[in-house]
Amino acid sequence: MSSNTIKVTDECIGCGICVDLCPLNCLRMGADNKPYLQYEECWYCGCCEIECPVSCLKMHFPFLIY
Amino acid sequence: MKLQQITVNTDLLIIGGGCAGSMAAICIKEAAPNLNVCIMEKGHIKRSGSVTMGMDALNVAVIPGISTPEEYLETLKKKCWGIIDYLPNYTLAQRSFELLKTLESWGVFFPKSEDGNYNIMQVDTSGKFCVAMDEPDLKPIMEKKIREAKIDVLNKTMGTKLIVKDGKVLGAVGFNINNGQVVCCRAKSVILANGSASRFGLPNTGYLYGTFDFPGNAGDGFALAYRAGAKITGMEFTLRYALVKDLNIPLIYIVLTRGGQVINTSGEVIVDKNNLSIFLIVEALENRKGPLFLKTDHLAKEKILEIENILFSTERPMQRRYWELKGIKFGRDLIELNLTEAQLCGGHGISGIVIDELAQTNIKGLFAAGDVSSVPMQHLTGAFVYGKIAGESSIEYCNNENFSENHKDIDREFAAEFEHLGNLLNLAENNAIQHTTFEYKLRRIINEYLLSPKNASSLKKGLNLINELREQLPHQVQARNFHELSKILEIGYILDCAQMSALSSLTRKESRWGCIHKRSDYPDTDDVNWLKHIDLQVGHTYPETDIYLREIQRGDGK
Repeated sequence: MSSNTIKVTDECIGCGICVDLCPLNCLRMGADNKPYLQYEECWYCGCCEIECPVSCLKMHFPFLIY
Repeated sequence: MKLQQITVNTDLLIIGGGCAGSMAAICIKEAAPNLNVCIMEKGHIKRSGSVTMGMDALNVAVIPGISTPEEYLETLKKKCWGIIDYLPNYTLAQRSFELLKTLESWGVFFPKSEDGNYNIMQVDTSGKFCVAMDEPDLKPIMEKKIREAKIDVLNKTMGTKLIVKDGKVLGAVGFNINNGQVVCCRAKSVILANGSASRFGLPNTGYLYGTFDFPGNAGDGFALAYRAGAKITGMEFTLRYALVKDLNIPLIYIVLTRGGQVINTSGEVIVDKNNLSIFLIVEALENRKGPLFLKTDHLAKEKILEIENILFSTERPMQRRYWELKGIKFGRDLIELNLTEAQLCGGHGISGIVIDELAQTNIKGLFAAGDVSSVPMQHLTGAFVYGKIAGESSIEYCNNENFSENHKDIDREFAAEFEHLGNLLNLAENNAIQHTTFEYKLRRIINEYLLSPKNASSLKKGLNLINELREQLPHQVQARNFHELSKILEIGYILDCAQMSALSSLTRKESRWGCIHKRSDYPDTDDVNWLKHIDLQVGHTYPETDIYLREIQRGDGK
């Protein structure tokens, strides 16, 4: 699914912590071993960004709410 | 794609690992280390439940020398228009300070003034019961304690069914939404702590997950308890808050207690710290006296910094980026407020499973705590206090009750649920409608027919439409994987909540709580006939429902 909600830089180490901790279970790991938003069910809590051990992930607000 | 089954045997099962469930687990392990405890959590316990990030206040804290339980009860009675029971709420107030001290001993930060006093705020028209807390890592602190106590946690596992036989709980069925494992959990006692019906009404943005309360909660606990025969109350309390328009993020208390004002387009002050009541803002918006704005340009720079420090660090820190995106600055620009979607919640409102002051439901061995239970407006304090009480009560139950080793009943009930989930998955694989589309329609119908202004015709129409959707659900909504199957189950929970809400609203033939339950066909508040609880219980065949009126339990013996 194409979505701007999650943007990940090349520094991503593919640890999957963001995918595991997402309270809405809406992230998945892609074939490139990087997380992406599989379901448009994000609450923009920012856990994924805050818990990222290498600060490579940026959360953006869903289009419908800004 | 096939479901797998596993069996878990435990003494105590907790469904929901948010603040209430985590507190229950920690307290049980501390008081009775010999008992096995297992938590089923739909997300991941480190960041789950309504408090995924942190929290900036304990809304119910009765601090000796500042306020008394009696004063709290008096304020609460006014806020709930008399629909409260004495003992559960008195107990909450009485045990709130001890809870604050427990959290403090765990490292939860409560800011204090130079003379060592807590920062206590007035957020109601009377009484000071709100204590500032500054803790971005509330859940990680609890998760660490759970890990250290070696409590079993089944993450990504939602409850799908309570197993009850002859009025006694025997365990529950869980479903792992990632790997499709269906868990048969045999337990002596079960604590339900799986939150409110946050995904109920549709937000103004139309974004299904843009709710003000945590959208992972779709009324799972209300539905599970109802189907199992527990009593559910206050479902006519269709609560809408006032928060930041579109974003639906809380900041009003933080800004108003520090001198901010809510104004209308003429600049007239509607609410400030001298008459702070969220319901006055809701009332003004409902009565079309908006748009309303939060005004901060009169505040000193230090106050603005203080506000920003709290807002950008605790409950919803991501909002900093939102304001940057919108080009809005605190201390300079107005912030538009709007009504949230409607929710059913025991923490903010009065809806939920009926429990007593020992967190007991009407089902033996089944306890409930937090937003899923009706201890009106208990907020986060209630989740903690009743999490602890549910833990204490379940230990006592486990130690004093006789338990048979015969697993026939539970295995039969599990087999039926396993088959039901398997059939649903097979059927849904070939359906065409996306779960989001179906949920949008259901929640649009809730907005159109179930909310104020309510009347008998619209509520009945709503009930008919809910029944139609109930029939359509398994034959229309597609589930290509376990995640999507979990969404069909959640829609089923929302349907149950919608049905219960419509029935309760139809039953209460009066208007009460301002815009929360306004019947255009019964515009007056009728204390003579309706100063009562409306309880629902599943009838002979689900989803038939029996309705009971229950007297208010008073503390003064009257």
